[in-house]
Amino acid sequence: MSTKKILLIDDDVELTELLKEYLIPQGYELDVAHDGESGLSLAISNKHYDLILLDVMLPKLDGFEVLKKLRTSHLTPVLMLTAKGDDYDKIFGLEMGADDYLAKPFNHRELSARIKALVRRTASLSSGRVQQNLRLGNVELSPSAQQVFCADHLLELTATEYSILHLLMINQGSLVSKREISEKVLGRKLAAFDRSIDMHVSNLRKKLAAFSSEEKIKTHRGAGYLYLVAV
Amino acid sequence: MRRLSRFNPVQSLFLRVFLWFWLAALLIFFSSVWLAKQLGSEAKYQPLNTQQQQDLESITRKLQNQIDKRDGQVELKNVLKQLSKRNRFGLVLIDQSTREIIQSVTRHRPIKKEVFDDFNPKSTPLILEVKGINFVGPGRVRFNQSDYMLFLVKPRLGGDLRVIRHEYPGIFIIFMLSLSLGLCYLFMRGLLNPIEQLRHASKRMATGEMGVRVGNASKRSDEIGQLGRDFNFMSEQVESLLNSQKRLLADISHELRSPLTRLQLSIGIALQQNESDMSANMMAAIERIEKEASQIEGMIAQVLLLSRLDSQQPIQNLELVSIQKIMTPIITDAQFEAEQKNKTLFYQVDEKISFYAEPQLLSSAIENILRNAINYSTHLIQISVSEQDKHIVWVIEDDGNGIQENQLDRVFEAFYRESSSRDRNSGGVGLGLAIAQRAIGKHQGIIQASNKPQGGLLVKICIPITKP
Repeated sequence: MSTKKILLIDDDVELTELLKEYLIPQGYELDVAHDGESGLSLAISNKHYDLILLDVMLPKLDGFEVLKKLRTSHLTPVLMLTAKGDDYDKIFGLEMGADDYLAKPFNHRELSARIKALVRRTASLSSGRVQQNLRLGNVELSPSAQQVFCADHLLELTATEYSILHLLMINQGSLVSKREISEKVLGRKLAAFDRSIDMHVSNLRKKLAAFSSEEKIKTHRGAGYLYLVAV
Repeated sequence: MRRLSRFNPVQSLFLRVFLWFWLAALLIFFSSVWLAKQLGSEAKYQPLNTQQQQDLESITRKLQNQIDKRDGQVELKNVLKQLSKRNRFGLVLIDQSTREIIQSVTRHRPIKKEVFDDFNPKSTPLILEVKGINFVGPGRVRFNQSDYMLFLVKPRLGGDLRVIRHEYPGIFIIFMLSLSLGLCYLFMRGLLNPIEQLRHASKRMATGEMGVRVGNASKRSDEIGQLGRDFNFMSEQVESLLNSQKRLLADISHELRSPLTRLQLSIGIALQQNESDMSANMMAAIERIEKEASQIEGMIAQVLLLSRLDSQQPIQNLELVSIQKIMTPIITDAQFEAEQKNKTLFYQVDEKISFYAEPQLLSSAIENILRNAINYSTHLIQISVSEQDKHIVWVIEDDGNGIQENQLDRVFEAFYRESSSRDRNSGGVGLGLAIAQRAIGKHQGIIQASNKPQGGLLVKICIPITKP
């Protein structure tokens, strides 16, 4: 297994140094950018990254802008580093297609766990194990290519959205609790009143609805989500 | 009651100033009347003008004609009345020898005979002014071999008020009183309204509404206007001072986040060292640093939450929640915590209630209060939730020592800690209750703390069930 590459975009030079020192022993390779522009150009360069750690407050181009521009072409998993105390930021970040967020100051164990969850998932999905394509109604999910087609249109899904859809489709017709989604997809326990799963599902629904009018994912209020059996 | 107290001169500036003003006005009025009486004699004489001369002559002639036509066989009073009606003059006839007075109109106050003492039928006609009434005469009339003096009576020009004053002194006094009352009222209202405004503004400011300004009162150009402008200036200053203090707190916390993140990472790096390389002491120290760092993190999070709650923004994510959804996780955690401390938690709830709230905020408020109760109780904590009169009411009781009565209002202040509780074990920095209060406030609710008679603290949270 090759080393996982992480792109770190944060203007706090000391912090990026520490992150390097902390993450390299854990087997990651790190590239660092200190402003939004150079970060974005690295992110959309030919280099493949398994994860982008993206700070919100950045010179030249802020984190949301970087994310927005990145998402027009790339679906690299993005872990946003928001500032604690700004609820607005994290919801906004998720709406824009971030895969997860972590509020500064964060605990180092938490950071390490989140990174692991995001990288591991994409790794297992692309590890080359031959997996059967899933086809339900007009939605086709191809695990080997990590692609989803809805009515023969390719959907641009983030890694998290893809994983949630995959999980729901495998469990087609039965309820998947939010707790399960959080643990399996985000690699963390569901916190009380955490709305990030809802945000991801809502983004997913919007993308599906662009090509198909029928309802595919049903909400069980407070409990979880269910992929409806195709008629 | 408050409206009435306005008319108590002891309590109300309004009535005191009003009474003084009125008294002064009445005094000036009566003293000038008195002075006028002292200086001028009661009766005044003026020469006749041509019109009056003609009137007098024509009426004298008419009267004499009437008498002559009937050969003296008439009742003088009747003739006078007829003539008076026809010519719209009051008429007075005075017997030259007996000084008997015959009037066409009966007056409330009889005319004093002495007034006419200076006249005889041959005197030059004059205007005699007595108490606001003009007597024009005399005209000479003969009747039954006696001489009579005829006077035309008319109110003095523009002197209606005087007539009223003399004729109906009661009505006059009431009229004057109500007129001055009205004027005084207007005067006082003009003076006191801005003062009222200022009073309301100060009161609202005292309750923490820093954005309050006086409106109209500050636009006047007089001293009250100056007071109003000074008040506005003062409240602006206080507001900006308070805001900068709050902002400072928030800013410091913001700034602390970066070094704290770095500290957390450094701890992580230190822990990555091969554990066997590290002495047990060092390991313990690093763990201690980690614990302290996470405590600072918690405090910063609280300060930031508090400053966000203190800002004027309304809450964002109101959603329909059931009481069960809010309470179940809180109670589960609290039960666990109470058991750990060998305390008992009783919980009672009407589970059917649903309402609009910001669940995270509300939960943290209730949790803070409940945590507090668990910490300070000796054995028993009770929490109940019920619906009362379109409000949801939480009552959280403990059986601890309660709080000193004079400190009860202060427990919701930020960084308040009872001196006896300044040990680290009680946890927190005294922000929990402050956050709870702000959070409840954002839900338009109220939170109150009181001591139970049998000992222990009772906290009551009340939020209205409203739609967003």
